[in-house]
Amino acid sequence: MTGALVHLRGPRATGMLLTAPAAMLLLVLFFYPLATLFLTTLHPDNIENYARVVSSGTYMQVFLNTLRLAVIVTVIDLVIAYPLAFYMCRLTGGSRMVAFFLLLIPLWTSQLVRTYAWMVLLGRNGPINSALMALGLTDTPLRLSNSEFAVVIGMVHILLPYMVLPIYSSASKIDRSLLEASRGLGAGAFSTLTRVLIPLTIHGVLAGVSLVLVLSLGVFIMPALLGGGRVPVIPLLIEQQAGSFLNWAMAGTFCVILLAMVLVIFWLIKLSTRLLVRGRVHA
Amino acid sequence: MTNENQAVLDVQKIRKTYGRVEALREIDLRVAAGEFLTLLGASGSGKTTLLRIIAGFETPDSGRVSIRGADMTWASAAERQIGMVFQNYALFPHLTVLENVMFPLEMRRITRRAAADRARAALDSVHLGVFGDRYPRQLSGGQQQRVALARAIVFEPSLLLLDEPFSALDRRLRESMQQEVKQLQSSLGLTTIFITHDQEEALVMSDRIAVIGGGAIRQIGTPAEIYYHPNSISVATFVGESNIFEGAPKGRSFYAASGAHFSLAAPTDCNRMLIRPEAITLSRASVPADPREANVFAAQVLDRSFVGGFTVYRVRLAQGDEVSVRAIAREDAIFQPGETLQLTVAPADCRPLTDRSAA
Repeated sequence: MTGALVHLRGPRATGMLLTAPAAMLLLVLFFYPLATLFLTTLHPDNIENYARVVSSGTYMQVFLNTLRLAVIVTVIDLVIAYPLAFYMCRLTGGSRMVAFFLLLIPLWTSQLVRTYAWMVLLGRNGPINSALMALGLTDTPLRLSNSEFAVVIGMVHILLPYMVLPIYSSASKIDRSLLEASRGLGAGAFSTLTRVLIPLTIHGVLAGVSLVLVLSLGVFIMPALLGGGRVPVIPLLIEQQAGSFLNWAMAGTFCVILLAMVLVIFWLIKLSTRLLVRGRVHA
Repeated sequence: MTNENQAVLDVQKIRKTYGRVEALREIDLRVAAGEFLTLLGASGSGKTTLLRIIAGFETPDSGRVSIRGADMTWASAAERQIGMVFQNYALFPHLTVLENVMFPLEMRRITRRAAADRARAALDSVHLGVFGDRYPRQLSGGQQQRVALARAIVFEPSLLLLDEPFSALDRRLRESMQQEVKQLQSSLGLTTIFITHDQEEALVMSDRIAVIGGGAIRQIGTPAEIYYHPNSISVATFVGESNIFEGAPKGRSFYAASGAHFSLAAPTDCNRMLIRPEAITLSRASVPADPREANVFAAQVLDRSFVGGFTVYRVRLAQGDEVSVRAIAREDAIFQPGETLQLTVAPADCRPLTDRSAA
């Protein structure tokens, strides 16, 4: 009796108590519907949906396209975010506040609003086309909107903070004297980047990559509004099955496969973390 | 090719300002091959700025930095062949101890195997041969310090810079590291610039000391020169304990403002004078003394503090000057507050401060 009580004390029990409300919420609102969905797709009436999806060239093409788009967006975000995160580390006081504000404002604005903003910007008579024509770079307006280009731009913009913040977090922990030590010991800028900076920020990079990759697999609004029907991705298929065809079982099958993709990606990233961050004691 | 008179490091007329703050006024400094030179100064004196300009992490507003005769003022830190030990060691946390020490060799395109051999030898020289596979965070502060040292010397740099490397260590460890670094430095003949605000450390380790204050070199010389012949109050008070008298010189005499008269060993025209506390003798017996051999005063003990090997007395001369005295602490010669004693100090120990420009 007392033994059981003692057992419930300590940091572990405290942790469980503190996370209990959140865990309950997730269990009821997230895990339960997900499990129901999963079970529905396994129903004898629906199980052959999996075979239908996997054997269909069109559907598989959409899966590949979704993945390709996610990889493109992730790579572009990484290239933008990495130097940006380091730049933000060097800012102090007011200018750092401003930088964070600018980075975080998009997160506080509705995705829908931002997507419409991009529709306006990229539109046939939008400011970008007007500027290009005024500069004489093109005679007729370019078709910027309703294209994969537009979708990529929109996604890169919306997901950028998810890449910057984890990289910033690991970059801000780097002691500047390490960079000076590297330079002083004879390393050029490139060697300092590859031998010191990247290894020291690899946790942040992998965290950012997994966030952006996974989030971009599930993005719906941008392909729907900026793609003009030319950018087929899984979330659009799910919406179509559930919304237009009322085929919940098929929508569920897509969901489960998408979820499986996400889990595989997480597993791969975890694996690569172990390979890249060899031997280092985790903080 | 090598010229014996050629300085390894030649710093000429270096100036540096940050905004309106003049960090370095006009620094000239030459360091000879194999020399151990210490930049001694309080924080904010400019010593760190000077070190960073030498290392190539900052550029001067004007002036020139040459290393082995080559102009390096605008060269990157990587080009300068300078080994540096940072105050916080700056070991790469993602590399093992051995990999840390191999780093500068690999940057010089030395094969991995040769680099590993040389790095192991360097680790052996700081007695850390068996720790090669550990990560820096698994080592103590003193051990990290040695790794940083091994990494800084493994590529045989022209110049070794040590930026307050012992400030984070406890006293005992600091003293043993001082000895060890000094031994390593002289056995390898490394030209070394050492930064510290600790005057004792500077006196123990250096061939020469440059006392820095207010962005300028106040005085440069051997530890003995700096200690026995400081040129200004700022140097005298920074290095060691001091009694400073202001007054008027007259030939071989010095009249303190209080009226106390001191005989000097040589004529001077300085109006400030230094007497080190340990140069003063206190005694109960009143021995008549020749004023040319010794300055004799009556003095009353104000208070005393026992510091183990010696006792520090604060006494007041009959003329009114308060003087601090360091006496060897013999148990049978401990004076009580209130006692009136005879105070003697040799004329040679009354040292005029020559630099009148600096307070």
